[in-house]
Amino acid sequence: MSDPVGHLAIHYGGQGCRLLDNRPRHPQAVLSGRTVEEAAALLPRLFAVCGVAHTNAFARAVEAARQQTASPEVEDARHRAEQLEVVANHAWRFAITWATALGMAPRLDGLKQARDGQAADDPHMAAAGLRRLLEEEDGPVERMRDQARRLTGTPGLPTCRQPLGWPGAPWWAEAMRRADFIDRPTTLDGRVPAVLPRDADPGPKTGPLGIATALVAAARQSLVRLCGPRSRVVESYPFDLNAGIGLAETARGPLAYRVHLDGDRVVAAWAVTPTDWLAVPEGALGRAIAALPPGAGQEERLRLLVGLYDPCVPVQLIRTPAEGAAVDPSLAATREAETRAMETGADA
Amino acid sequence: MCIGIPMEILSSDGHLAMARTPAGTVREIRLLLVGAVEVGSHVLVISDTAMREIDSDEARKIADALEATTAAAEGLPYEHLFADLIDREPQLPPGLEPGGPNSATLAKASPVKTET
Repeated sequence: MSDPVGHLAIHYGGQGCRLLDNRPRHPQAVLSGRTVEEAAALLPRLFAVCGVAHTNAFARAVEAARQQTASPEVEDARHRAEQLEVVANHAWRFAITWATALGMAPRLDGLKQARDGQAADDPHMAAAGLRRLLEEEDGPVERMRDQARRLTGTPGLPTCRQPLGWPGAPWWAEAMRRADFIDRPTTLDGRVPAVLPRDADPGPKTGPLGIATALVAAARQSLVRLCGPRSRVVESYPFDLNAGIGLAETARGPLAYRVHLDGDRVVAAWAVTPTDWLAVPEGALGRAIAALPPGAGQEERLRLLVGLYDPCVPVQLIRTPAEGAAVDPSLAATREAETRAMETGADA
Repeated sequence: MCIGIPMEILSSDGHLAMARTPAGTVREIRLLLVGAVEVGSHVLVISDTAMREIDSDEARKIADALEATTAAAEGLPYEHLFADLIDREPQLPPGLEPGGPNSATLAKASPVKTET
């Protein structure tokens, strides 16, 4: 069994930094040919961390394909489960990911409270756990914002668009409708910029401080959405005859599914996740990494950037030798494969 | 990618554990959230941290589903890896079940508002 999660590889050192996306292509391919109910039952197994969001987005896409809408009661129940998952995953980021990237001890009390609240279907308990993390004096949230401010001052560090929180649902639906999945059903090489319109505008351009601020703001908004009345956002969009687009929220941003049906069977399904936006070299994380100057502190700043952007996939840092020095054989092989791919148009 | 890896605990000191992935790789993981776990038990892991303890049946189902994605990518058969879902009685999630609380809405087949 090969690695089903894959990883992002960041090469750094004397020749600058760059990001390689070594994740598996199109895990939703296993949904093809399945009945709707088989596919819906399979999704939580595939995506155990954000299973609610994946299942909800899929269900909404199926309903759109069938020209149907869920009842308000059903959508209320979905929204509640989705927001509980969002709050628990925001808590995970602050308590584990950010704390670790900053060299701090994990914040277990707030995280456990948030996760216990999710398990007990208790919004107030979950919200109390996340609030505890957000409001901790000199905790990971505060310190990461300080570090992000410092990183933003790096000369030449670009800003980049990165969808966070909940950008306009119609924008997402249109982007997924225009995405070129059909012609390349199993090769999403190039990832998001290739499959979504290049002129798309998912949000304001931002650097590390903007990302940190947006993630904290998104966490605070999720508290409001979890404990307050549900805002009536349209999350299902018919695409074509027997095809639909469904949206759901995750702690890292919006998740979108496009599903094509033949009767009760899934002909094809594709998803664009927040990690897809982060994993591309042209994305916010990739561009920030590429702009980091070599030299002292490079690795520490890389670890901070990776922790801050939190791409939800293992990241491997690979130090490369300075120009003129011997080249790591694995990197040389990767570069050779990349060169071949560029020449042939195949996946790297 | 929202993917968690089921792992089997090989040894543990209550804080850290050596655990085996479905592919057979042994890794050190943190037990911060789950606390002490018995050797032979299973946990769901993300970022080398155990999220929660799972039973062997759930661990196998998740591992099989993940293996199905790699088999599909390689053009190999994969349906046997979730055979329990293929021939079972329909158990659709809320909103998609024919006889569920949303059945009236489904029967009416209300058109979805289009804003694109």
